[in-house]
Amino acid sequence: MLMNLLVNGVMVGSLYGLIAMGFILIYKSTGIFNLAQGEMVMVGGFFFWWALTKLGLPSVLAVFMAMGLSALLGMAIERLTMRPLIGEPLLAVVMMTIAVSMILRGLSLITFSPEVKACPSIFPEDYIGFGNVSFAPYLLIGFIFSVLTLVAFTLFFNYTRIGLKMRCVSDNQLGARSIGIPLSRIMIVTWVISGLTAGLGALVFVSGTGSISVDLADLGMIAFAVGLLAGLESLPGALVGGVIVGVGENIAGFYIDPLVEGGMREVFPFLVMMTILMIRPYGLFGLKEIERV
Amino acid sequence: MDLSVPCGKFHTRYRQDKAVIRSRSQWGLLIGFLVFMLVLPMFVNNAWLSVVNKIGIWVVAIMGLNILTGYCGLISMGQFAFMGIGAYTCGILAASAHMPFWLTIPCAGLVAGLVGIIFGLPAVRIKGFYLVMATISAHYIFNFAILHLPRELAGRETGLSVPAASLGGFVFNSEPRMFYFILFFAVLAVFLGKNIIRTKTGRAFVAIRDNDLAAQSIGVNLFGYKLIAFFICSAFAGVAGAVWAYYVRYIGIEQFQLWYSVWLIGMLIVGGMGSIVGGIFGVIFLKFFEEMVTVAGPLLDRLFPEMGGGIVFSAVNVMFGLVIMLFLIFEPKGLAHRWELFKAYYRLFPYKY
Repeated sequence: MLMNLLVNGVMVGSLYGLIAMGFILIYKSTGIFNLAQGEMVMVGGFFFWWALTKLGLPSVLAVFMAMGLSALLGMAIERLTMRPLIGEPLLAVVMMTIAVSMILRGLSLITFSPEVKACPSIFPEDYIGFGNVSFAPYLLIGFIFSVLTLVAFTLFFNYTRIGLKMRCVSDNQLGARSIGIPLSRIMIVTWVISGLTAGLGALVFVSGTGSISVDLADLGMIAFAVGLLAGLESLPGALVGGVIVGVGENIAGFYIDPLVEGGMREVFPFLVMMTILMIRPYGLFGLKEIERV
Repeated sequence: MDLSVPCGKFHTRYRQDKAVIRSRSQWGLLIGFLVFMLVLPMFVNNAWLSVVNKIGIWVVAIMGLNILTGYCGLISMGQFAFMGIGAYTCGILAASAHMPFWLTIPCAGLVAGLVGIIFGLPAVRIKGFYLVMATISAHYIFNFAILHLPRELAGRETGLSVPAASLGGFVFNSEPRMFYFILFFAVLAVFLGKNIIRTKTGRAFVAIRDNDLAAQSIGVNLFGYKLIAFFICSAFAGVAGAVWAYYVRYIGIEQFQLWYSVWLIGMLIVGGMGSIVGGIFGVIFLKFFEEMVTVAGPLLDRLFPEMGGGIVFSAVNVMFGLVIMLFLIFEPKGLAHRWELFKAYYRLFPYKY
């Protein structure tokens, strides 16, 4: 049983990590704490559901459509709300992401109504089992996607020109601009990639769990917890943090929930995060900031 | 020949210089406003009075948030969790221990303040947005805690009914009576908020907000003052929650959701951070906005029949989001800044400057 919980936890956790990566990406390259990440995931999920059920597209096309629309969403958010605030204090920018999350949530409620909707699975549905360990195929696919995304991000940041430029911007926005890095282009690339990541995570979740509602946005909260747990600078850390949260959540859900009449599973990521923040404020893999006057 | 005319108020004593209310016309306006508030229930019906009452409670909550976010530069998105803690403390004390309101409300403030300190602890060692998450998690942990308190004490998911507040033989059980109850706490909160900022502590907060390193190097104890800021913020929230408990007299966790904390931050942006009057403006502006959407609710329901009543919440979210967005882009200093401009204009009237 424990083994089963561990394996499933690792896989769910890697999906959390995938969503957290989209969020860390924005933080890393622009310093913005994107509180609308959960809503971006939710809207990505709705795009997928809409393409699959309302438009009746074949699953491959629906995947591409959802990813494309998610990327467009990221682009739109950057263009309409982040661009006018370049040079404003970060607090204002974070407030803007709050406004974005309110608008996205409200609009999705109006467009797609609040009830839970069923979504057909595009992945095989039979559980995969080895001995007494069994898991849903979508989790395995999610795990593979997460690892691939992490590899892609690592290569991107270390070996491509634009990735290097993004690191410059995150290190020192003013300095990067003064050596001629176009900040607006960097920001748009960041948000598009983040939108893609959100869309990918969303479609795995939606298709895997077979249902979608506005509550999907709560995944964003878990992703924040994962991000902080890992330290906001580290992409591989996101995966590790996700796995810690996923495994911990499963174990807490199985062993502690019966003792305390439930609810432990939902609150566990936040308890872990609070503990980590108190002991190691910069997260497990974050950089400790040293300030000089 | 001396042609100069006095062009301002010239104080001759420090007392005059330090006073909150400096001129006779300000005294007149203040007294006029208070008298207006005192007679207000005679002229408006209960529906509008309930809007005013809710505004009063949110004003208490936003005063705390303003001190933390506006003056100390630390952001909290858990204000409603702390309000909930205050409300439940007050509710449990009033329902199970039969304590009078003048005991339960300070207790609620104290308990909420102490819990707030726990969630503020990460702020001591880090800055920036880590704190947002710590305070968001306050909501989740609050929900968990309330659902796991003993059922006979806190009612869990069924909610908790709170006896009406009474003073002597006077029971605060109707909308106009509650109005005076809430007015008292709102005025007290504004008075305290305004004055906390003027103390040594308040100036330390501003120093931390403007430059924490500089503040530390001139001897401001960051550790202590950040925790004090958290305590004050959450204590205000706790009092607001307790007043809310006496107002609705039936509390449940769904009244203290994360969304309301987000709205509260939005109100602070719209009103203007770091301005006492800004917080009040923000609450009034967005609450009336919400009220307008609620009034338009039946119409919206007809337009979007499949929503089944959830439309108001969604529409309010979209509207608030848009308003906050526009304010951030076009008026980042909020309504308070407009108010300052207007005052300057009025003072100088026929001249430009």
